[in-house]
Amino acid sequence: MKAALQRFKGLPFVRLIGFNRVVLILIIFLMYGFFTVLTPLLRNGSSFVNYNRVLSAFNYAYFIGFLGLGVTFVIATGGIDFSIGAVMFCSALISGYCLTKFHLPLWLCICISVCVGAAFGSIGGYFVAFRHLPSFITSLALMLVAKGVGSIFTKTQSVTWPSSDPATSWYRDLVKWNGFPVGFVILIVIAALCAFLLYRTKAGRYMLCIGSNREAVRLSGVDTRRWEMLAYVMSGTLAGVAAIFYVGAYTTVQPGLGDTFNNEAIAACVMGGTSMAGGSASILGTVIGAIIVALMQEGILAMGFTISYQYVLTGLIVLGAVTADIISRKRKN
Amino acid sequence: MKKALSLFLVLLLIVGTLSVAIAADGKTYSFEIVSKGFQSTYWQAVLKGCLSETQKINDEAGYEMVKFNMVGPDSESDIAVQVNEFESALNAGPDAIGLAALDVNALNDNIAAAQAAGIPIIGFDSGVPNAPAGAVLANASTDNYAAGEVVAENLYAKIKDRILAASTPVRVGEINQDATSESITNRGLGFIDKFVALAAADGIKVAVVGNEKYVNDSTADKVAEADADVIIEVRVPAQTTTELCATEAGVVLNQPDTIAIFGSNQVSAEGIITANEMLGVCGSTDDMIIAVGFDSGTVIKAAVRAGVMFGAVTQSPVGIGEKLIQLLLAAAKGEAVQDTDTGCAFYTAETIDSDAIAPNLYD
Amino acid sequence: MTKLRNNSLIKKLGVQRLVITGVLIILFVFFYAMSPSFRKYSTIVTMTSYMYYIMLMAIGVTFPLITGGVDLSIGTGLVCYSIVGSFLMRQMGLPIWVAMLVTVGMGIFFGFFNGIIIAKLNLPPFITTLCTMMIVRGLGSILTGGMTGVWPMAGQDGSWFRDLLKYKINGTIYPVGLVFIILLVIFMSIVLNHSRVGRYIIAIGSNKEALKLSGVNVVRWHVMAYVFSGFFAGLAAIAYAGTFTSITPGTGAGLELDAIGGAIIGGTAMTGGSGSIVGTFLGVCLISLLKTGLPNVGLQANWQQIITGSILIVAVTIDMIRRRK
Repeated sequence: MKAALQRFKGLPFVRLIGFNRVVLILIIFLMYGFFTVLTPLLRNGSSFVNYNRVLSAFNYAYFIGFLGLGVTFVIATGGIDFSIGAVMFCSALISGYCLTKFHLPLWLCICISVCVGAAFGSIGGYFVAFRHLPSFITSLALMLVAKGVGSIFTKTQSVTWPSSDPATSWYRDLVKWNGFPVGFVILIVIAALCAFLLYRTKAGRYMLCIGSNREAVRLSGVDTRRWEMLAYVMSGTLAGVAAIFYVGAYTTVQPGLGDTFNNEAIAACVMGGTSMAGGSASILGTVIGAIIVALMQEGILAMGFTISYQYVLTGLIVLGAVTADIISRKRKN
Repeated sequence: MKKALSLFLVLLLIVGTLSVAIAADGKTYSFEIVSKGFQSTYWQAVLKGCLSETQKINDEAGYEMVKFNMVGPDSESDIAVQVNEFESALNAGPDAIGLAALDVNALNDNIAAAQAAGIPIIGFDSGVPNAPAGAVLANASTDNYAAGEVVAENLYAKIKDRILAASTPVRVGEINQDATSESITNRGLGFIDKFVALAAADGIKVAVVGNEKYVNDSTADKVAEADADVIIEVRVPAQTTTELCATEAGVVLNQPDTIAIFGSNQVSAEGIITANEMLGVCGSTDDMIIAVGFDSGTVIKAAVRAGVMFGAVTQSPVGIGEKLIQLLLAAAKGEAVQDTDTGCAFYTAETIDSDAIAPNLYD
Repeated sequence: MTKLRNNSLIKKLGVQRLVITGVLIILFVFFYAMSPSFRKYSTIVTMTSYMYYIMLMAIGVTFPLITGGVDLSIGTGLVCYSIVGSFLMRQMGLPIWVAMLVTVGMGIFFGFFNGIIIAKLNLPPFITTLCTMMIVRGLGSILTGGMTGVWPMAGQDGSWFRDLLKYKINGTIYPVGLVFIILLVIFMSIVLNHSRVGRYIIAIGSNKEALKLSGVNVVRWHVMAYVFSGFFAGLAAIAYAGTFTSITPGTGAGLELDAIGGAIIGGTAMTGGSGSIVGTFLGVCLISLLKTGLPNVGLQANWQQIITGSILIVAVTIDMIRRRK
């Protein structure tokens, strides 16, 4: 048994994406099988094997995935970003308001959404990187500000993105076009870009360095402040992107909300293997983690349980995943 | 390993057979109901209505003719969760679906899919406003705008003399849990419009200030704040939590010129009562602030009985639940169905235990 | 000679706490001047009532913060524990003292749960308590079938617990709870600074390795920090019920940020090793003052959030600058 495991770990495919990630992918298939078997039993007549279900699970996975990708950068530097949910909603609110009330063209509004996210990311990143404020409090404060700004801009009203007129609703095609999960393709492409940024550029390498040994980086004399700030800018920008995918699936955003998505994005990130201590991050893991979180919600609701069960299960599973990660790290050492 | 697997398969077989066996006898109609959530005991009352009606139908038929499964997100802002739940409901292949939509646009695709699959949709509570044509066959709901008007009528009757006798402008507060949901905005606007209309008939000028949504959307004949005899102040908290509603209510209650305050749903009405616990300014006599609320629940019922809250409007949640099951069954059978206004009524300490009101109140 | 004594006096009181007190006074005067409704005695009473549960949570969470960790589960925990307590009273008819015991007991249990995982398994506190937060959030609804929790109101059986918080004599309401809070602050301050458990907790935060090497059972004291946090979350659950009466299941996510924010403003560093209960008290006072004063000055809710966020940043920046020096 052990020998077989070792040989499996040695396979080039496994080595490329990491044993932990392969385990996660296996978990996805296991979960899918689990839900497929249980759903018709627990809810008569219901079937889990259904293309629509896959699409609907993906709908949830996209924006969580983007949020998770963004926060991966921040966690890689050893920080934390609490503001991503609120920033996502703020971006969606502001750009949606521009679309519905000011009638700006859709492509411009999408750019606005990304820019608003980037703006918040810059502010947060500046305070953390240049003024050395703790990221916990900064992102918390930024969350409050984002909630307030979004609400003020739309005068506390919710914004519903249009869904009928083709000229103004092609943003929905970014999520799904004639039944094809376009959003998944976009997620993979952007994830690949993020991976390139994190692993192959100087910026990314510095981010990971800051996370693993801040003192050493400081002593080395290299000015890494802008790279640390970049991590937060990425987080904010991706939150702005996530906003488009949120409205692509759910069309309406209300001011003052978005907090729950923080937890799920961070959970996805940590499940994927990114270490909260910083210094080690996995982009692929985050994407897989987002899919797991979305699939779990879909499956639990399909079986007829209330959303409360999803909270409990997500909490337990993430706990399990982190424990497994820690144990495997200890064994490596 | 092998033993466990075979045991598991046997169990599967048993469960599978059982579920087939249960669905014997006549046709069993299975319905999926997607509510707005279990955030207040109101929805538990709707569930009660559904359960009692289902029991009645099954007893009459002699077998389990109707069964249903009710789900809902935790809070009325979890649109994404409700969309998922509606999809799951759709996938369960029910004979009909009941829906109280949080946001129709988010559900558009799924509603169209239900239509395409030939599954009838019945709206309830706030229903499915602006649904695509033909998708929703009927709604069993409260007319929220009319409900707001009912509150205004009763409140105005109570404070009219005080307004006429006042030498300086007086204030009427309105606490709305949000400025986004159909039911809340309709109640708030219904209250404002009716109040202003009634006041204008008596020559009283009213200004509306506060949250822009309510100020701008109100069709009433408003005047400027400086000329008004009555100022309606509309406040909406940043988030729909009890603490924030209580804080906003407290601000209005603390104003020296406030003579009345209205909370347009259970959460905001409870917020008013909480805020009043510290201040003690609400009551039913002419020197106190007249508070009116919406729905019931333990806290509101106690406040109305004690006179702290002058009265409240109750919807008919149990009635909504019963009507919903009836409509679902009719729609599933292919019979024609119609919209039903399940009504609302204002109750005070005197009428709270009456036969007309009591069954609709819940804890 | 006087200069030196003054310096050490300031050092003893703590620069951060003085700064906070200064800001408190300035804000108070500002609100007093700008808002007639703020000047009323009832507003102050209201402010203290809304403050109790945050204060209790904050006192509790100061301990994990000092160890360099954090406890995010207190917010949803508060809601869960009070809902279960309400379930015991309303659905099972048990007397209120049983409900109170169970509420606090659940808090201790989950505190212990957090502590063991963090101290024994060495999981990062952030993700551990984040998971517990999610677990507890769903658990409350599952255990009680999604029913809203309602604790006894004035006039009902068991409403005496409200008198612990405020007592009415001849029509004036006295914020009795404040007395309890101040006593608790003094007591926990002594526990933190002068008892064995407190000193070990501080040591864990500043130099865990050294403590371990000196032969102390670090795990036990580390777990205690989280047990404290859970215990106070349980107390906060009762205080919340005493003020707001009805508790909605599934909520609570976000309450812990007020508590943690208060503790951090009060001078407890997130890196651990130093902290002060008195500072936490002042920090929470500041947040509560903003929460009460801003609406009274006529600001709509969304502006309140922006201003609160900005003040948080300012407060922490001042703290940073001070530490730099």
